[in-house]
Amino acid sequence: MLEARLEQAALLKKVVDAIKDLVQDCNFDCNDTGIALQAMDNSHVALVSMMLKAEAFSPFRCDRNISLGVNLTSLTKVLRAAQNEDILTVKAEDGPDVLNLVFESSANDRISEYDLKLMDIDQEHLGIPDTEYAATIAMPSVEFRRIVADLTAMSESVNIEASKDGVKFSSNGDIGNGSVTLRSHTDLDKPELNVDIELTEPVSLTFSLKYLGNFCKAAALSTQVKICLSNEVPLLVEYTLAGSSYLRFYLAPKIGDDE
Amino acid sequence: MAASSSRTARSSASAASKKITSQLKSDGNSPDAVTRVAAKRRIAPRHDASESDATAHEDSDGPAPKRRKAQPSRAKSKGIAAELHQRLFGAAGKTVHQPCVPPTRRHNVSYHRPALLDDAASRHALLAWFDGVSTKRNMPWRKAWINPREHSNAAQLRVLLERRAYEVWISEIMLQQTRVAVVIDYWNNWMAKWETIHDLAAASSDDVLSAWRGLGYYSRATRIHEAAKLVVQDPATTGLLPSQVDDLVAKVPGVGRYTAGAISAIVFGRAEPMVDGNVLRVLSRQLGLLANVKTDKLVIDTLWAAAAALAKAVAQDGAEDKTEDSVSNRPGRWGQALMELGSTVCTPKPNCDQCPISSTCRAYGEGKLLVSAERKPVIKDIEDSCDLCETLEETADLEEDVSAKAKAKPVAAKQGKQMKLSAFMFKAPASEKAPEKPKNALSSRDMEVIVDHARKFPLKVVKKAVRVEETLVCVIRRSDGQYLIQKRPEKGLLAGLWEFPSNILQDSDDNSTTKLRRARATDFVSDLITQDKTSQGAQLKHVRELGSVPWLFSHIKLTMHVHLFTLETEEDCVEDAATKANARQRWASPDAVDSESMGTGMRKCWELAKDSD
Repeated sequence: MLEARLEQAALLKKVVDAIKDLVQDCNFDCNDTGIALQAMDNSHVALVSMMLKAEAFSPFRCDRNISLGVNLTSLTKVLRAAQNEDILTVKAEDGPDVLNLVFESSANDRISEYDLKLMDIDQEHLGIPDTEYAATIAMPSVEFRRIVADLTAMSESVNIEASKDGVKFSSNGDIGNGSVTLRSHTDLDKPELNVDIELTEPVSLTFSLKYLGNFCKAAALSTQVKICLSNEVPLLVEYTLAGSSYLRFYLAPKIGDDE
Repeated sequence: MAASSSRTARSSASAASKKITSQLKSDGNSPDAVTRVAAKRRIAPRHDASESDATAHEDSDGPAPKRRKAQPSRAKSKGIAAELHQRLFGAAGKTVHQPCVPPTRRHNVSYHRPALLDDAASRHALLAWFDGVSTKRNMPWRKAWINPREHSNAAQLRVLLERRAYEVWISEIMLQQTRVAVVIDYWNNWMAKWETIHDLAAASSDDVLSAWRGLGYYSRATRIHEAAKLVVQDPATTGLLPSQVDDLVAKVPGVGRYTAGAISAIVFGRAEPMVDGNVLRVLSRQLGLLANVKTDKLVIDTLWAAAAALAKAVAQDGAEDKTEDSVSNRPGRWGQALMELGSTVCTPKPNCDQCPISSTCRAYGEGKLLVSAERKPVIKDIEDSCDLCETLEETADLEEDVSAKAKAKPVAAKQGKQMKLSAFMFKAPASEKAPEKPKNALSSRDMEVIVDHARKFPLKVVKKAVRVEETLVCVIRRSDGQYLIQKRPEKGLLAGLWEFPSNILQDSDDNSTTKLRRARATDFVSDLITQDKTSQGAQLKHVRELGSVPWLFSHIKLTMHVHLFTLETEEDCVEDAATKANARQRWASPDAVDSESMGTGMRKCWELAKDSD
């Protein structure tokens, strides 16, 4: 059986919030290392890969590998009943029909309990190729969200160009064009505001802003975001969570841009 | 077209045959306006996309209707094609069992001998599959074959055959370019209206047109009618369609080699091929022929020849006496099975795990190689290398999952093309799962890879752009409530149908605003009215533009701007009914307009006009 307790329900609430617009139904694969999720959006353009390590929970117990097929819209409805600060416990039998969720509020001794029906989802598990990225950019997650939001006003897609001078996000649209350039930046007092660019070779790629906008919903999970790029390879956007848990998004580029 | 020139030449013989095909092509698709007009007239008596002088299999001609003039080069290409077809599909040929390895797909010409030809079990599987599904789509024209041996009374047999041939013929013509679901009702109505070919021959052409209303490609109806009259009057046939393909093509207008094959096989049980777009797709996959099946004549002929060889093989599977002339229901079932497979399973995106004949399918075999671990390229003899197939890399440019290549090319889309993750090695670990499963069971992911490969067949061809046209439809209401309608010319688009006076707008003029269109419509109608004697001295008034009706033909995207006019006449005009009956233009009451045969698009305009009151 599975039993996993989270100190704060907020983590799961935010994770589900960040991916529910990309993926409708998916399997949470549970084993003794933690809870993992991998799913593509309907158009097979973006992929979500989540790993909540056992350390993120206390306690965490999973005797046997189980797969929990969940409709994320339904899960969102149930999680809405939890306060951010509630203690959340998820439980499932081996070969389960339902996922049991318990929300405990330490402040006022309130306990609520929900059973969410599970479904069989036939999901393909993709191998994600190991990639040495040519450029890795770490930046404040709100900064990335803002850039994406601002450029969405101009166009459907954004060109991300990383060179030794910095990283440039630019969009060309019907009403005009716009760009945002960031340079490496270190703030000793507030390291969460750092912009860090590692580059082995210059890259330039174009992506759909609609998907990037979806990814940015995960900004609530982490102050920093890591963006990894290589020419002609899908983009990786990674939010690190507590411990070595993570939420990753992959996005296939648009090809044939006239720049 | 560009495809043929981009083929890499591998031997001088292939280069020569290529030259011939490309020459043929340029002859056929001459942009010269004069030839085009001439060609148009020539097509008039037949509609089916094939040649009326097509004879039997190996020398039968391609479906492009414009290439009718015999070219001096054709004899030569015929010779080459015939030799190739004999080699590939003749009794002496041997099936190559090893699929070639994508993406290079190096193979000899002999690779294209259909594996079905040497695999009676697979042929049987397809027939069995068809027998299981043939009634599922409720096609009323699908009926049991009439076996001449079971009928001793010759006169009675003749009546049965005559009826059956007529039914199949009508269904096949209706099914050209039209979906099955739509045809069912039309066919039922048609058969209720004209039970036999004699009834049809006696019908008025207006009735025939109106029964066809809504099906589109109206020349099909006029040709059926013409043909029915011919077949009934001809002392040789007196109502019974010929059973031989050659006779059908030669004597029945509108019947080309496809329809002829269908009638000959389905009704008369002869071993004749019928190859429509679906079958071209199925066969290009079965044969692993990655080529242009839309316009490349040599390719189309090769597939026809393959179909002919298969039809013969199938006919002989069931024949007791193995003689040439034995007839049975097998050729008809076989031909329909291939078509049914193409329209339900072997669709552009195929459903390979449902397919009864995937074991003989080259495209499937190649796809399977892609997901299996062992991939050893085995090509020994490159002498006879295939020059019919395009290479996969070339086709990749036309497909969605291009990666690196597309970048260098100028792309029309401003924002670039959104790629899918599968183009970047985001793939299921194929080898990991394989050992756990029985050998022939493929995971869904593997299946997807196979389907993706099969989808590349046949070669995708860039479609010709659709012409965009705008027209002003002028609905003129006289004070007595009658409307002016006119008959379209007997040739061309919507031939012989009635319409409201319409004026096609020229590209050169600016017609972007209602005001400009209104001025143009008013000019047009004023001219029209001054020619009409009964309307002398009448007051013309433009009421307004009622709206625009978009309408899509296969080759034209038409926008119809509907303008309503009123015409105040001073005196009651008495019409000479007799002269008006034959006129191409007349005033008609709303009820009379309702009952005239009109194109569906024009009828929409009329609805708009009626609603405006």
